[in-house]
Amino acid sequence: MKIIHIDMDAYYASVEQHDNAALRGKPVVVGGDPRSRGVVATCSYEARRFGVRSAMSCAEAYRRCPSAIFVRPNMSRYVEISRQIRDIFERVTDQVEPLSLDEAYLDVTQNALGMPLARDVAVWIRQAILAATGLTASAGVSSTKLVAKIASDIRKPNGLTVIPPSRAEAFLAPLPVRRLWGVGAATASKLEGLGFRTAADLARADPRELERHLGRFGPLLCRLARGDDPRRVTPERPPKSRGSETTLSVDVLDRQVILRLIDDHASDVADDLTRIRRAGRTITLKIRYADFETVTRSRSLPAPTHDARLISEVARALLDSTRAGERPVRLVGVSVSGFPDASMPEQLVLDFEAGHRLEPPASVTVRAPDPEAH
Amino acid sequence: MEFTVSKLDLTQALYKAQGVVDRKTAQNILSHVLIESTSSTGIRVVATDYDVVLTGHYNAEVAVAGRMTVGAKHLFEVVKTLPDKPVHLTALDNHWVEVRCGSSRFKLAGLPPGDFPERTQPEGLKYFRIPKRLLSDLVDRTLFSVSHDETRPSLNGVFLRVVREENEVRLTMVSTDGHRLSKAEALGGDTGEFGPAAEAVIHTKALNELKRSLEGSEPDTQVAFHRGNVHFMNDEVTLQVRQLDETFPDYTKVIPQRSTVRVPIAKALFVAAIRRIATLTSAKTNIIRFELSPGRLVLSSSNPEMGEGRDELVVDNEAAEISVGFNFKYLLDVLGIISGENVHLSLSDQFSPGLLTSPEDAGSLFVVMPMRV
Repeated sequence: MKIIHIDMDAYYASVEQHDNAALRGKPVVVGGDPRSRGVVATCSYEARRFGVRSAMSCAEAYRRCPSAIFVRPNMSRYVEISRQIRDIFERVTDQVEPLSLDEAYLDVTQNALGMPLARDVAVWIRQAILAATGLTASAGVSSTKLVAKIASDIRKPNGLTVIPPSRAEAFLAPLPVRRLWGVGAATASKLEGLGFRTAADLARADPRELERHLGRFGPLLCRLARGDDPRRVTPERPPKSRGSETTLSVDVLDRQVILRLIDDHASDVADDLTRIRRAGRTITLKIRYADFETVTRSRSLPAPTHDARLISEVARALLDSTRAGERPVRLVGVSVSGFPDASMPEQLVLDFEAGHRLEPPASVTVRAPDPEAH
Repeated sequence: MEFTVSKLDLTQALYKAQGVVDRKTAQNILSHVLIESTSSTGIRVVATDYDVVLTGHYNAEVAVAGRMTVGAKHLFEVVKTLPDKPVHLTALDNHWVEVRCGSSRFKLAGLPPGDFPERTQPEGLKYFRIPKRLLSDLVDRTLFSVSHDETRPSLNGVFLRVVREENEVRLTMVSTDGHRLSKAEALGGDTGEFGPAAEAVIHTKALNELKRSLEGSEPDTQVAFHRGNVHFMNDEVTLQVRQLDETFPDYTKVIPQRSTVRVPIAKALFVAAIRRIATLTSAKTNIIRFELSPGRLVLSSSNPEMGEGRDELVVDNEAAEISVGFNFKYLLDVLGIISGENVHLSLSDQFSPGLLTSPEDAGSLFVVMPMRV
């Protein structure tokens, strides 16, 4: 198998720098206002030199880099460019697994470019992205997802790293266990406690011993550490839920304010669902109190919905089972989940708004790769 | 208060009250019926849940005028076991009520009659008259497709519209649960002072109560609209129903005005085929597939765990070819209520609503949305 992991370099920040010449070559932080309680979404490489990192609070970012230019995210722009990038991927193969707006796996074992070498495909893709968007991407090429993803990070930004299958295990060997797929902070410290510090340690381990400590994940981890990653590239994983939430600039006690936010989020979620042509049965309200205690309240409907009014009605009713209004609230979110299994028949609903005409509703068309495209 | 009433009348009154009163909490005044004297020869039995007020008038020998309340459920259970003899009820101290009949004697707890919700019978109601049979047909054709989803309150009732047409009234009832819609219409009765038109959304609970109260012997029922309430008067019983404060959706939009094809099918054969094929459908979806082609309609279902089934009906269809899935329960609900030996199934395509009608049930139509396969 020939797998490429493509990762855009400092994506949001690069888009901002590309769109606004005044930001180029400067430390740019995309996220909230430095005086706000928002966090850093992405920062430019110039800002990273000052120690600014993603997910850091904006206040901390400002402390480390007072000269940084703080920019509010412009998601619709990032989505727009992400679509252009996605189009480029799809000219190469339909085996594309997007991980986010700026990151994807491609299985190019078969590709529409007719190139036998995955390295050549990666070069072509990076050039095509640069030509179409003016942005740089880094790529990792290998025979597994795990190695391709780690490789794409080696020569960032604007780098390409190829790890042939024969070198995969040696490439992984010195890496700390934390870098392996599925190993988070908790698993990492558990492994270190057991004396496994690097991938090489795990590669030598007895899978049965790992199974005793980590359950079914143990033997898989052992395989991963040897460069043997059984995970396939799975195109377009169907979404499981859609949500919208805001952290408030000040803690709020006023229920009316929260109710209005619920309406806004319900409407955002409904738009999003309409866009992806899904409807969900379960509506969830998320409330985070000022002390960071977070509660969720859900209710399932008899039929899936993407109706803003209904979503908001249910979420508003759910607010009654929280302590919002008595306790200050810092975050309000609404989400819809429980999408019907696409392979299951789905009961269609009467459309009282638009009525029923004779033409069928537009359906999602899956793009097939078009070898004639270039 | 003290009176004597026939066992049959009292049983009837309490039976009708059972659907209205709160049967769960015995201490609640809403679980009680109010019995009060109206003259030396009559009593009134009232039950209410605030939204529905049921009032029945019965003959009785009133020895001492007054009023009493007593737990509707307990009194009903006591009275229905009594011998078929006159029943004497006497109000005792502390709101106790004594029930005597033949050799039986009971003492039941009551609550202060003053606690019973105030209600006033409005004056000057403009009743129109319609045959009970007609009203009950409309209720039967719509009650089953009401939505029980509390998050859609506007669909929790049946929409009722009444329009005066010369000396008669045209009654339309519509219900929908979002997946299907039933509409039934009839012309008849006597308009009386009513006019020109009125409409209301009535909760299913009230309609179930209405069906019970339509069981009397008189052929007609009288109906009036008054300040957010609909009043039904049958024989000795009146039912006052608070209409839902909801706007019913514009149902005309979802009724197919024309379809690609209308296929006549013998109802009995259709029902039998659906039942047969439904045995193999998944309980999760209840889907049956229909494939219409020239001259035939093929029904099929499959279930990965059990297998698959297929049946075929010969139908009068020239050219249309449509493949569509339906929840079979929705179809059986309609076929169980629609009159006539033949039904017409109108289809357009796999995404458009199907329509069931019958030439022998001219006022009714039933819309069912397909399932996306």
